[in-house]
Amino acid sequence: MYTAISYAKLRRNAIALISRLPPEILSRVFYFCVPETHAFPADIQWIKVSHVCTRWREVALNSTHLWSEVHLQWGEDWVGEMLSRSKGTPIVIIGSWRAGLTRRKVADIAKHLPHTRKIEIGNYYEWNRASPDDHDAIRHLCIGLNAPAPILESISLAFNQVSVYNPFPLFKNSAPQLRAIHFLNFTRFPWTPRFATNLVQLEIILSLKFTHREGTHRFSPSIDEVLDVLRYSPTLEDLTLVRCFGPFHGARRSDHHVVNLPHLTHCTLGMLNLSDSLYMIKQLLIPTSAELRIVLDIDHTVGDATFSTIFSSLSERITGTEDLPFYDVVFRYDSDDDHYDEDLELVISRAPNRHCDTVMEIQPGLFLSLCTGGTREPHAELIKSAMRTLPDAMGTLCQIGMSMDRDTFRERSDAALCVQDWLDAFGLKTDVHSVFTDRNDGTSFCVALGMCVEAEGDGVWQFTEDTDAPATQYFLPKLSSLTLYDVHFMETVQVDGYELPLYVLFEICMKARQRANSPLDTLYLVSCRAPDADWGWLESLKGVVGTIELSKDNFSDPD
Amino acid sequence: MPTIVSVDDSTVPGEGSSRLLLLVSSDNKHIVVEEDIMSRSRFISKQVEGFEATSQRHAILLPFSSFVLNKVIEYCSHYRGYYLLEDDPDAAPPGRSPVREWDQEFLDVDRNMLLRIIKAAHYLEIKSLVGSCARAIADMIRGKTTEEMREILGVENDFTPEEEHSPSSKCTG
Repeated sequence: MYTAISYAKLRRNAIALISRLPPEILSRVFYFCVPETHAFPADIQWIKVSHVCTRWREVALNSTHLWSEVHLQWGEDWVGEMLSRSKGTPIVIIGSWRAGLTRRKVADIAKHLPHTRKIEIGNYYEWNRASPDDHDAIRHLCIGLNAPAPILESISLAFNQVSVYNPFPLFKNSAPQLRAIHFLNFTRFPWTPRFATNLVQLEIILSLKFTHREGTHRFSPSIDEVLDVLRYSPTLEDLTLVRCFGPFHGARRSDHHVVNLPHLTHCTLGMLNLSDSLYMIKQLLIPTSAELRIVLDIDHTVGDATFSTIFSSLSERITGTEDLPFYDVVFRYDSDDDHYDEDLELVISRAPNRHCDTVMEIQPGLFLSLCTGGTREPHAELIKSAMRTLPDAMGTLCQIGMSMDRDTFRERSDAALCVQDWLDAFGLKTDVHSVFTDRNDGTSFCVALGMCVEAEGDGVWQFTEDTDAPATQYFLPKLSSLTLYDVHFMETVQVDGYELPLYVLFEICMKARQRANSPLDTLYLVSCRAPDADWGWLESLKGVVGTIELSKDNFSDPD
Repeated sequence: MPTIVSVDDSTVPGEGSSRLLLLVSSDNKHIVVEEDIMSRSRFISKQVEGFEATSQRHAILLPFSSFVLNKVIEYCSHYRGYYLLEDDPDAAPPGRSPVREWDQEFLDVDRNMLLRIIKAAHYLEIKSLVGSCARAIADMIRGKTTEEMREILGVENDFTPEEEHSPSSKCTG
């Protein structure tokens, strides 16, 4: 009975207009139903096309390209189903690691390596929840990568944990199409010079927290091994090697010729010590137009002498001899010495436009930037130490950035003190002409704007236009450019006993600047949230601010 | 294959710089159009190449109505002289780029018309129009339930209970 009814419906469907479309067109319609980004489970609703009718199912199941993006976070059943429906078509294995994929399923994924075009697996943010089974699964995935990958174009593996894997050559040294490698905390592949040739991108980074663990570098490549790989990749355009080598104690190989990388545009080298960095740089012939960044880790023991050594070692490059390619040098400082994350970065660069940095122009066209994870500790002593070792440090503080969060303000209550610390470190407060603020509730822009409000503590603020008041000493008269990131203008702060929305407070600050003959030339709003749909409140700033520019990612939230 | 009939040169003034084509729709409407406009259609281009080989020009009979044909001609006229990646046989297939604004308005038609246009575009081998129509149809059904999709596109559930619970439908999303 059911069969007869189904048959009648089948016949009826056959004359429907949609059924007269050839399968390749229907398949194309399905293709456009697939969202570009997959978020489980809402975005896989499109797969319901295969449940509409017999023909649609048949077309969908035969459209292998619909099943070619295998997202691990969809879970074991889906991964298996996608792999089987892909039927040998080139596939992409993508997604963050989701706890629960078994060793068997992972081995199944590895079996599809011969028709895998791209692998992008990361669990950076989820690894803390990983079980021993997950570690086991990862280990088996790695073992599975011990097979030729004839069409693999790129591989990206990012983990939050370094585990020990059995040594084996990756892809059996056969991945002829491989052009991009990104490994984050995944350096335990023993590799050989022939592992990859004609790479365009090579990025191997080990986080600071792993560098001090015993055995971390047991399977890491040596500098000479990597140089050999680079020798076979003259097409390389982007090279990043950070902390991925173990400390180098032996004698340098004398048979090395310089590796010529004529197409390189970006190069970041972060060795465990300065001499390794300099050795690596000497071995590479890099176009002068390439951006070369040197990353050096420094710890709490750093002092004037260390800085002096570092700066004098790099002085030839810093003083800008034309023939030495140099873009910037980054010192990463682990101030609490927990070997977990960098707390401060000092960057010497040729470009001043780094976000959330305090930037000094230490020589014409050469900038020192300071980036912090937060301003709880402004590291004034360290900065002063650095300054003392730079004879030409009496440059111009041209830009100051702050990433102060709400808690920082609440705890300290005297948010302006953060600014004071920064400015005192340089003694150059009057020359700041550009300010960034980032990830805050909007209060820091008031600080940046020169304390037309004064912090009283616990988020309570007072207006002040008294130029002798302590707060107004941070007024930045030369400020001409202000960039605000992620400010929610509809939020309120308490000022003079009133709950004021930030956009009103902002307007008051701007008008105060205008009265003080220091109006802003340019205001940039990035990722900010507006109080009204059409950003009409900005009308009130016309004539007060020169130019207002909105990035595309601003949004309104009238509710 | 379309039926090709010989036509009088006086009907189709195909000489000179602006050559014309005579297209005949399934409802027997004769539509004269500049060859240049229809060059986006691989099918028409191949027909024209055939004319040049035989030194004879013909009317091209097409298996869809004049209403649909006029829509296709409107599309081709709009993009006359434009380079569209999708129509470049040498270019890599484009990804899921959004529907062009003009196409969105152009394809703001009822379901049946949309399906007829995509079929005609497929027949005429105009890949860019096929792509835009496919996107428009996808937009109609995206995020809908299975039942809603059936309603929108006029199809019925013809699965037997066994098929409905077959292994290939076990992942229902």
